[in-house]
Amino acid sequence: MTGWRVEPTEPVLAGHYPGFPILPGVYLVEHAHQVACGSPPEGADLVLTGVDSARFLAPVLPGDVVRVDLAWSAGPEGWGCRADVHTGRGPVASVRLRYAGSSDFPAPQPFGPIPRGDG
Amino acid sequence: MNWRLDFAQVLAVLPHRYPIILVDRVDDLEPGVRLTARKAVSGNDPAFHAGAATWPATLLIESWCQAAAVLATWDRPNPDVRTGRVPLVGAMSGIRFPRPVWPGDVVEHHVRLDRGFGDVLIVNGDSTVDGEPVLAVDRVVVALRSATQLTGGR
Repeated sequence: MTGWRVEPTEPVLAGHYPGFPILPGVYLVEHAHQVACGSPPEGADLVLTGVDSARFLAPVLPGDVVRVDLAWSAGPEGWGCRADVHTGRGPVASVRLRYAGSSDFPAPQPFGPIPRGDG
Repeated sequence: MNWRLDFAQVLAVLPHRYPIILVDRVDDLEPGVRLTARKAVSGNDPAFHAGAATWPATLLIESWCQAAAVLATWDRPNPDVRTGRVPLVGAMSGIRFPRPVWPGDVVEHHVRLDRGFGDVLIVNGDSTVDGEPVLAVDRVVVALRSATQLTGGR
């Protein structure tokens, strides 16, 4: 599996933190989510509805290569995806993502024509 | 006594800086108990430049966690992590995103301190936009760690 090399020039590192670059834990959650969306079960069109749990086990530093192992499971509340995130130095995060089918969890569309309200 | 913090005062508490400083203002901080903070989401956010249609839920979590870090550390601020301790999220559970956040939304974070022992704090809460829920947080564990602890001196 291809990995994500966290370049020292990764923009977020400038602010997290100045003089002490360390990848924010939620970036590992986001990366796991992106990888998950790239290989959905049965070609499902999925919406991220939650994070059942995430544990951050070790810091990710500039130059680290992040890899993700995924395991999907179907449940009553939609699809669950367990992501084990690791670098060459070992596991860095364990994430359980929660998805719904886009038809079961339609995105609200509040933008468009405004009803006149005088009908 | 409760406190209200402007952006400069938030920067004096949190070590986070651009492009990942995601709390604009603290409207009400009750020390050791709870906090209400806000984050205005702009179409100028780098996430939208990268093509996102809605604000990434993971940034919403990060923003909420930064608000939690203000509650956790405001009485012992450390804006330079190289010389002191840094608030890090160790674990989270029971996170839900009832609806997306769009450019133009002002997110109001509500953080409650559940338990705190020394350098570890457990918080929960939610976020709303115009009173509508956009985030529910069952449990987040924030730990204060020194830089050398994290890197092993690397």
